[in-house]
Amino acid sequence: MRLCLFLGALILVSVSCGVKQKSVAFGETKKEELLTLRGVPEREETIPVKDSSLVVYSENESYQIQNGVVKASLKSPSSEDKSVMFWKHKLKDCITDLKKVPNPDPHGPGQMELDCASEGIKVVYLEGSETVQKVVEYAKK
Amino acid sequence: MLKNKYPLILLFALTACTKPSSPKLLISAFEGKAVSIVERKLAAAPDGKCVKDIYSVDLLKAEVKELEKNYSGTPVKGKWKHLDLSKLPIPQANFLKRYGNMLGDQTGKNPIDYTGCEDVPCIYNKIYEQDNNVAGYVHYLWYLKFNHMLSADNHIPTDNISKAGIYQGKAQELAQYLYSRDELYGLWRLSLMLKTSHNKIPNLKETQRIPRGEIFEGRNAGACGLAYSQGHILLQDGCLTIYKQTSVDTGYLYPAVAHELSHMLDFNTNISTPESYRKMTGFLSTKEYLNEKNERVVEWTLDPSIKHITDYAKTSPMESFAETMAYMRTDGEGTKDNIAEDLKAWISKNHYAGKRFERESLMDAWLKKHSVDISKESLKAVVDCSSQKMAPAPSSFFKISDFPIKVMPSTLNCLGGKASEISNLINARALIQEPEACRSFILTGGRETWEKLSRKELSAYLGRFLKELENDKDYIARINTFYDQLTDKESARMAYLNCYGQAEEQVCYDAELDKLMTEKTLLLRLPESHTKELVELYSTYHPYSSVKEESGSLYLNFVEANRAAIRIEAGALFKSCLDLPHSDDVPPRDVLFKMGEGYLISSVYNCLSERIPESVKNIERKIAVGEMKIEHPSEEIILTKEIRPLLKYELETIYEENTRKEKSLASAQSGRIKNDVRSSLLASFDWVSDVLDSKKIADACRSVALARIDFLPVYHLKKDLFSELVSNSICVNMESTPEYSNYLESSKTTLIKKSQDSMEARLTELAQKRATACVKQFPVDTNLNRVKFKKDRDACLIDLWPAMETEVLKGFSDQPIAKKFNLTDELIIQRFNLNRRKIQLKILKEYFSGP
Repeated sequence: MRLCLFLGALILVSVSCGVKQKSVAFGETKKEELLTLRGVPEREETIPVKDSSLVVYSENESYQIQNGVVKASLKSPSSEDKSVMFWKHKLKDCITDLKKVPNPDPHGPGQMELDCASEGIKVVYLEGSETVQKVVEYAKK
Repeated sequence: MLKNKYPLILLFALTACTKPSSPKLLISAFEGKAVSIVERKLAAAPDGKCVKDIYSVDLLKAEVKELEKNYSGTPVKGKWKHLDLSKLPIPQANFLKRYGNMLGDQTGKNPIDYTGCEDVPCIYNKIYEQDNNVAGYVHYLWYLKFNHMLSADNHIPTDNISKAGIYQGKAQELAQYLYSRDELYGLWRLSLMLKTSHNKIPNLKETQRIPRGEIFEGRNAGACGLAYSQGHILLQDGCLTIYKQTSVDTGYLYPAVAHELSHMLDFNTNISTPESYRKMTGFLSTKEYLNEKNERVVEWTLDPSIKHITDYAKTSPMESFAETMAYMRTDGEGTKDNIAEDLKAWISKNHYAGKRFERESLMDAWLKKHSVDISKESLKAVVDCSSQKMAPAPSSFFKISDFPIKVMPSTLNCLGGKASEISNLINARALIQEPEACRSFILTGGRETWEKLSRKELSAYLGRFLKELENDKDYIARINTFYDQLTDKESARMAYLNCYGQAEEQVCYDAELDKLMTEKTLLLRLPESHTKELVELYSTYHPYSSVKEESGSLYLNFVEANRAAIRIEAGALFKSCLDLPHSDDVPPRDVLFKMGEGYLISSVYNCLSERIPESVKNIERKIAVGEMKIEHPSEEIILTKEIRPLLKYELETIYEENTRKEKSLASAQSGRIKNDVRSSLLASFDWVSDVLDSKKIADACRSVALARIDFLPVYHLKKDLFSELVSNSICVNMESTPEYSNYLESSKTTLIKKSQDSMEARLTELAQKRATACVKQFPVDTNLNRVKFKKDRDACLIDLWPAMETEVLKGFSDQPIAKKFNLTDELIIQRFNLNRRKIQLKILKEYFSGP
């Protein structure tokens, strides 16, 4: 009986690991591979960056393509990762760079970027706010 | 006649009998029964005056008294200088507890003598160096209405306290940070206008003026107001402009300050963030990407068909919200046709209690506000004009067609004369009570609009009374008594609470009030039309917008009056979470409160997050009006909503204080920490993984040093607290220490072997790349090819072997470690000679054997 339970658990683990979706490797994954992984996008837009375009999916999720390779993704946080504290905790062992991004809006607060280059993650939030606006992922350095 | 008194007796009996079955309302108990002090003051004001004409210390004092009079709550303990806080009115004690050390000169060089003061306005006036001045009252009223400090000090909240009295690199007099008399008037007038959403911004801590004549540090001259989500608004001259030459009721101050307050509101509840808001305002999508420098760029695509009040509102959803809120409230007539209708309706419904502030709707609201008086005076006019003995003066106020029944010309003249007087009376009241009234009447067409609306309102009342009087001679006596019941707010509040939170709150309120009042009035056994009329009269007197506005303000004041209880609960909650075993393993959940660049370990963070609802309930159980506790479920919901942000604010205050203490403690221990950790690092270099790379050594040192620091912060990340100490002190010059030299000496044999291993690995890697290329040139995909190209393939790899060894050896002897131990190329060649054939055979087998 115990052996059966053990084998059952083993199978479950194998199955759950087996179905794990392949993720995008920034700087390596080709655009065609992205489309296979993520499906048909809502639209594709041009951007004023050389040889680059944006592949846009629903809920403000987009992928920046440069020379046919996925360079970065820009996503709005989901419910669990919307707090700045979540990211500070997640990146606590990373040597992060926190910088204030110049804001073209003369009235509005500055935007803060918490950048962890070794993980290829940039978290954007309003100065003094505890809510993340955007999570940018790019090739790890 | 006797018969007609029964309904009145029944009405009183009904009021007495129905109460026990309905829940008692806490705000009704909280609100005093006294007649409004401000109304008494206003009633004494001469006719024809505007709000700006009656602005005086006396009026402001009365307003303070009015707002303070209901503040029974949790007493505040402690002292502020010579003042015993428990003896001050609760809001004043709360103010001094919260802001007492942020007033006046913050440099410590020019202390202000407050000894003669017994209240907060006096304290402010000492800063302004003018006793019994409007300034003290405007500042304190700002706090009472908006629950944050209108600063009168020389410390810009975004700066370090050491920069107090210095701006743009110059020493600044305290007076430069203070508001002028006109600016204070403008701020006070604005406080009369922003009564719904803007008074509920718990994250706002202070509104501060920067020194007169200066522009913002680090910004161009175009900006005059800044809103910081940390809880500060900074104002510069431009945003405090009053157009005195035109009228002090005009000026950029009004929309500009309302704009910044609206930003704070947005920061608090993320109003402009949802997709639904963006769609409504025409912000179709963002184009967001990284530029060549890897910087994030955001571009909006805007729907050109959607109207925005200013070009600035088109720059982002956040600015759209702030601009629309500001202009809609301060220049309703100007925004009439200049804002997308959906947006205007949404803002009106969600933030201005259904009001739109266009001139006609404002005037209509003022008439409704005085509907009881209009009704009473109309009734009197009908009685007087029905029994007139002398021919009245001719009046063109009404036409015969204005009334539902036939009216004699002399009655028409009489009613016209009386109506004109009533219209002028209400006009005079609106002028001294309503901040927009003066401008509304002055602007082109203002007088005509008022006459049109008041004629319509008056003809409706007069017509109804004329008709009723014709049918029922006792009507006047009955309706007169009903007026006494009109000021009772209980039914209106009950209807509001019964509908609180419903999708169509206003529609529900109107229906609920109709139902409640019909039930009450039906017991009077009046004809159906009379019943309907009384219900309508009550509904007109208690419109949804007023009840919502007043209830919101009362609940807020009630919670604020119990701030001391909230503070105590916050302290107990924080302590209970700190008492738990500390851990930082589980990710933090939810958004707790503003931490800026700080941190809080997740065990405490999640504990606070989980226990806040229970703490809110504890506070609700403790606060009461006398013996009375919460009974109506909606009151509980509203109080929970009001208490929660204040509890978070108090937790944030404790957090900030503890964070400061922890930083000081860490700083005090830095000497010991440096010695302990550096000694430990120098005692053993097992943390060095690659002696050939100085950068890797420095990185490893920093990482291991941080891990070995035994100070375990709760409110900071170790790296934030100690990075500087580690980089500039603990790990500095590590490779030049005698301990490091000894380590290298003692590890010489190991290092030589490590170098040989490293070079052999590089050679293998290079050979594998070559083998891959050779297979492409001489394939092994079939048995035939494998045999056919064998010689060429082997030669392709082996012939290039000497060149590959030379490539790997290049630069080896120049490496610091090779130099230090005199490691020559020969040493590596020896190893290559020893293992060459073994490596070759391994690669031939791996790459050239075929499928």
